Amino acid sequence: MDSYRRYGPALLRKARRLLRNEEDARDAVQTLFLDLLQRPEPTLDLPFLYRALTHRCLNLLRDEKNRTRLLQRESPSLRGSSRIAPDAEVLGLDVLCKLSVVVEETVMETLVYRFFDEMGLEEIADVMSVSRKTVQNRLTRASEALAALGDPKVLS
Amino acid sequence: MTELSMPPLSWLTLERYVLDELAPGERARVEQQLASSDAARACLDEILSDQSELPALPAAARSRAEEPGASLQPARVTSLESARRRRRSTTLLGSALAVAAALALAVLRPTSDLPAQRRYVSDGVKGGEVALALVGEQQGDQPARFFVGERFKLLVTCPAWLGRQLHVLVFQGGQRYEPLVQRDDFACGNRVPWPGAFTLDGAAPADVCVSWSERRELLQTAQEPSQLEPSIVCARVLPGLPDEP
Repeated sequence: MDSYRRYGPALLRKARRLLRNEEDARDAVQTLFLDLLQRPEPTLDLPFLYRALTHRCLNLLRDEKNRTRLLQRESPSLRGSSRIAPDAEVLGLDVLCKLSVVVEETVMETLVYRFFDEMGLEEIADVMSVSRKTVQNRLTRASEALAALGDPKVLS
Repeated sequence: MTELSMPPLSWLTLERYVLDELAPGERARVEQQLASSDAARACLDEILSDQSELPALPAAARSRAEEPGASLQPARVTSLESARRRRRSTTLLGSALAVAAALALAVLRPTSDLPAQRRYVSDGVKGGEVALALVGEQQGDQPARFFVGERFKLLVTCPAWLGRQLHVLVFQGGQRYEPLVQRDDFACGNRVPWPGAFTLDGAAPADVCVSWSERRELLQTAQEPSQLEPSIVCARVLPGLPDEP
């Protein structure tokens, strides 16, 4: 599968940043491609795969039975440095897991693109096929949800 | 939280730059920013220096996908329950295979009429189908219980590329055991007998597991199967009742 060889490493890097452990990151990428073998998509470019992988990783975080394992395996160094949000370490796995059960998936997805993939608002709007205003609104909702969770640092 | 005056190049953009998938105008913008931003160059270096490779997708899934007009069902994770159902359905057609397995495992008595043992399997196997079947010297295939002195063999179904990574572990009463040594030369296939046999004792249920976790330290320290998820499959057997053989 050419797209697996071509895009797999880039997707693995993304999965590592989000899941912060090598094993689950590899599993996420491999199972993504196995699903794609089952349900072929007409277009397999990197933006599409980024989005598909984001959904897959968020599903992992949302699923209670995975949460303990992910938290045990969390290796913060795999998060890497953040250019867009130097204090984004508040978005550790624990916070992400809690957030994922109180906000809609689209909000979580927007949050991931912004603070893990470090996309600009325009780029997120392109990837998600929504307006820039919608992206901004979703980030605001994420910020409010974080505040409600009692996190001392709120995205702004 | 602050944002720089010029938005940073996203990881997606940098990855596409490396893959040469950007339009000329976008590529020029990226190069301009790379020339002026140490942070952007550091990220690019991070991508370029990452040598990690993903293991190949299972051959079965690839070949099915490449067959024109073929069903694109990949080799997938199958629960042991469904594997067992499939075994039942193949028993009628493939009794010779069952006989061969039985011969390999010495003399087996008819399957016990005890309730079916609880079995479980984790999700998220790395693409291949991994299953295990426990065979008791006295009870035969799928024993529900273990009795003192009874020898057990393990039949493992796994994709060829996984053989060297497999470890057999038994978890019982908060303890872990390695009753069978790891085999670097284990040749994966359909219900391949793992070399050697083992016995079980004690009063607690035992989880007999095969793990292909790449986390070596965890393989050596895990005290329960859940710590090795999703890279583990297990079969549970209960201690025999006092009035049973």
